Amino acid sequence: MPKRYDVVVIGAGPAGLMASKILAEHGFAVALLERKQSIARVRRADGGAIGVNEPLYDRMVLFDEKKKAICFPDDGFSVAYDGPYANIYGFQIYSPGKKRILFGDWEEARRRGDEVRVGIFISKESLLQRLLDDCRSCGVEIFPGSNLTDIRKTRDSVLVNCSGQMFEGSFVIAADGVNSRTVRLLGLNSGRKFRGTYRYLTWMLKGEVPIDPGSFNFIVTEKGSYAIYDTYEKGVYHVSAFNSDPAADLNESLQELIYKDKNYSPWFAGCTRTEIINCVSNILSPIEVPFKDNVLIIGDAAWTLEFSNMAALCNGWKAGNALTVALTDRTYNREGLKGYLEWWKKNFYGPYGTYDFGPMGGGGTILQSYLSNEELDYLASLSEKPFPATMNFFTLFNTLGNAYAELFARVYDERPEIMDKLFALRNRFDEIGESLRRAGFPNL
Amino acid sequence: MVTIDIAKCTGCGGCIDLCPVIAISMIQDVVIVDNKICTECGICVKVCPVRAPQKTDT
Repeated sequence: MPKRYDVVVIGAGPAGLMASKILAEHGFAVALLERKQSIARVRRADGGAIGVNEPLYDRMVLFDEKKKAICFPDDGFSVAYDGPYANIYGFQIYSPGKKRILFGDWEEARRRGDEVRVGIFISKESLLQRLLDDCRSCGVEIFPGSNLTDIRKTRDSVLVNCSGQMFEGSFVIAADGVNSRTVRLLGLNSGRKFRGTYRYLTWMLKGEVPIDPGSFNFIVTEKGSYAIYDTYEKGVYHVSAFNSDPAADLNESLQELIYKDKNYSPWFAGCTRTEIINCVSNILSPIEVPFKDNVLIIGDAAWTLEFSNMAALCNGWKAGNALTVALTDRTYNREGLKGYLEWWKKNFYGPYGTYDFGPMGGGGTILQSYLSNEELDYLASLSEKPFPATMNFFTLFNTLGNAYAELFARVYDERPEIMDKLFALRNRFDEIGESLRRAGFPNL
Repeated sequence: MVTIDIAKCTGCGGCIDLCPVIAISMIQDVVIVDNKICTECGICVKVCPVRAPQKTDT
């Protein structure tokens, strides 16, 4: 007979650890399952950022460096963070010829510092380690090296099978991330809109790269789409290539930027590579009701793109409290989690359930296959003033979309051939999606 | 059969998530393929950003 727990939590990322900690603090028996051996070691490419001082998914997040805590004033809780950090002042998008679209004002950042930050780079390992220590000290039973192979509902519990080792819980929390196996095993991916399978390859570089301090940068060239950002550690940068075209060679694309590109390769002269990390991310529309067969799905597992650490923490906290109420009331069903499910629907599914990502939903080098470097430079040069700083991807997409919608009359006037290409691109998205499906993506 | 080049594998887990038959798992922070379950569909080969899984004829 497997040991019976109140809650079995699948996945020890920020959401799963947070939920486990809350439940164990409230006196419940919790098993936390994680496929990695070293839980706090981050092997998957991750932005390592926390957005602060602006509402994200309708929650405000603050960072209190004196109290060493990430604070959620809307909900009235905080998460200890005593690791290193560095301020983030926004996003920048670079065209092939270094024309920039700014989301943030770095002149102002130099003058006002903390006051105008919209995020902090953190050490995700420090965040996870602290949560893990808290979980251990309040009695969570932790099982590293557990690979989920099956999950099924019994009359009054859920059985979780990890390569033959069985766990039984009144409830299960699935916090196993953006490509959640739990969600797939429960059949909850059917009905979600598929928008692409993105692959990211990241080189960690040591040296001096001339980007603005505290900036999260995207570079678009004919050879690829890239992200470059600072980290909490001075002189350490993450440089990534990303693409949703399964045929794209990410390594080649990254080498092109770092060693060959005439505008950008000088940035990396003198840098040394310290580590390679990577990740794969299925982009699916969010799950409307993230609960089935007594399994509550939280964080990226129910979401659409890579969430954010702060939304994961908030999901974990809410879920831990919702299950506390359900277990105390002995309402082991959807009714017991009504509050959580309504909150999810209002703040996550409602605003973003049918979100149109536009060119994002197509693929990493689709834009470039239509527009030349010169044309991309032209489009970027149209944006003259910085947009307001943000760390919220949706705000970024919306601002960019609205600004360019207004500029299109001018583009039509000055460069009609670019408009023709943009229309042709728009019409190709369905085709691109179809070619991805033919290549076997995603496995729903 | 499909084998994983352990020297290349970074342990990101992308192939584990996308394997349609649950033939891949993580042991000691790197991935292994159970070739008794694997159908050689090739998804893991296509999806891996560092090209760690390889299809070989045997």
